[in-house]
Amino acid sequence: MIARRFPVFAQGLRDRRKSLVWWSLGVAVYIGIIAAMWPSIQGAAGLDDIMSQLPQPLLDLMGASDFDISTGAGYVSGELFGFMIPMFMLILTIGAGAAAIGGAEERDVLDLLLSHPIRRRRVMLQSAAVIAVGALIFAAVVTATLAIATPLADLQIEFSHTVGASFGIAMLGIAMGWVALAVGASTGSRSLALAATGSLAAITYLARSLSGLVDFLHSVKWLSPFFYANDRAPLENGYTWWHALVLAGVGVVSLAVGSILFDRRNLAS
Amino acid sequence: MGASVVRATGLTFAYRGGRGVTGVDLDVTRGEVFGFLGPNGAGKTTTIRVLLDLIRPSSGTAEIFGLDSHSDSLAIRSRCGYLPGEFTLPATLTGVQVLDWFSSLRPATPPVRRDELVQRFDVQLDRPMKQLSKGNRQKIGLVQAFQHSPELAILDEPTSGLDPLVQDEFHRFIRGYAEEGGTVFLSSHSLDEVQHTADRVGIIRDGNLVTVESVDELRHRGVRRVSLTVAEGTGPQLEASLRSLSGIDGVTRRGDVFDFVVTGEYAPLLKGLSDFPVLDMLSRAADLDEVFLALYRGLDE
Repeated sequence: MIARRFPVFAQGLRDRRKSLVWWSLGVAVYIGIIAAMWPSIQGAAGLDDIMSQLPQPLLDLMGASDFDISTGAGYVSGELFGFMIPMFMLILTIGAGAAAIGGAEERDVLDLLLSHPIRRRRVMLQSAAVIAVGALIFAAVVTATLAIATPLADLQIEFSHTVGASFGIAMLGIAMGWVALAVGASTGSRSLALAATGSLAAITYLARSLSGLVDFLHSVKWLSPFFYANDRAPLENGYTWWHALVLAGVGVVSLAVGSILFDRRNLAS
Repeated sequence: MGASVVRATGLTFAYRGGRGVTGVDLDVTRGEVFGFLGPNGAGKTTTIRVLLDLIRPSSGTAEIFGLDSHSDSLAIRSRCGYLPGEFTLPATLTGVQVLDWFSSLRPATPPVRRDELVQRFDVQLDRPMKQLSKGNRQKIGLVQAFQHSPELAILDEPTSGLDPLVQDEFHRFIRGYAEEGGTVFLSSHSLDEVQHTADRVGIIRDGNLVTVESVDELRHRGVRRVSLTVAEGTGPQLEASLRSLSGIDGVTRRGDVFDFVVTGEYAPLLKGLSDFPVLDMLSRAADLDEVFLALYRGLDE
């Protein structure tokens, strides 16, 4: 059984079950509302005119410059996939990553856990698996909700694009969640893991959004993890699947480094 | 003497800021209850955490079951049970769920003693941890440390938060556990507790192991605090005489009332007092600091 072979994984999922259900419910409702508004927005005359009159920097900041907002896919990209859903995802995974080991240490849980015959590396890997499964479940809920809403609101988004775009965001969440896990495990501080990873996400998001405006940022936009989650408007054009490998690489390297540092460290009492 | 279960040699761990332990040597044998006694912050928890590989010594070695505390930690931990001094149990899980969770981390050793322990300590299994009192959570901690019948139980201040009746029951339990061949490493800041349970006692202070002796030896030291009142006006005269007696330490005087610590036998004191008009004499067990003071004086001499 899973619980016998992977106790930390099983317990971690059980711990996060409730919050995952609520987050999923929340995002489903949110997607539903955004989708429900589409028919009236689509019908509103002059939306394109308004958008084209907005200054480019504002559009960039809104994350809307990459999308043609007069189409269903562009609208959903701008309203959901450009900012809100990645943010939901990152709060979920970075929170889980920072809490898993750094948080456990601060809550006086880790000593007792690691006094049992289980390697620190295994605790780390099973915690990472909890984050990944959580992100994929959340992405699946996003995919399912949007797939149901697409015909109802006449959004005209291809199902494979929905899957790809959601998957890209899941991979972004997993990568950043694993970074947070690694920072927490190598420092023993949940707040440091939250702050470091949260700032990293905020800075790379901003850099990516402004890359259309600033030449320098444009030339280094491939450094931002957000680039690998939603470059080339995946809802409209399909996800660039190999980008997932880059995000996976970031996550795996973080895990490996974090695991080595965790293994060598004296735990805080 | 049985086989060595815990052996530390020159164990040193330095925290930033100066706390830690320095050059601790320990030898605990099978079937023994070893009391590890010291005030808070003396280095008891630090030593224990080295044994379990939660922290690594800056120098010295620790061996458990003859295995290296760091490189063979996994094998060691599968044969140990541990009750930390500070721990948090999952707030929403019930007692059964918590005990199952800890069992799942030890697939090789099923919880054969759980039912017996639960009955013996009247543990509440059906309520979530957040609804339990500190004492009842401590009992869950005790059960998880012993439920798989470990060869060595490492307990950090195990009776904190337990009511006195449960403490007594627990002391009987670990005596029995050692008689069945188990080994118990018990840290405590209570001289009383250690005297009631341990075969031998290691006393640690400021990170240094001051002494290791049998409980009988410790009892023989019999450190007591005494308050003495003599007739008006005879105080100053007695003071000089008191200070010259052997086994008397820390004499303070307020008028005709004295406070001091007696180590060992009372006979010299009583002889010395025989010519004085004693009105009242109160004697009680000294607290740990006073025992330490007496011990230090004894070691210095």
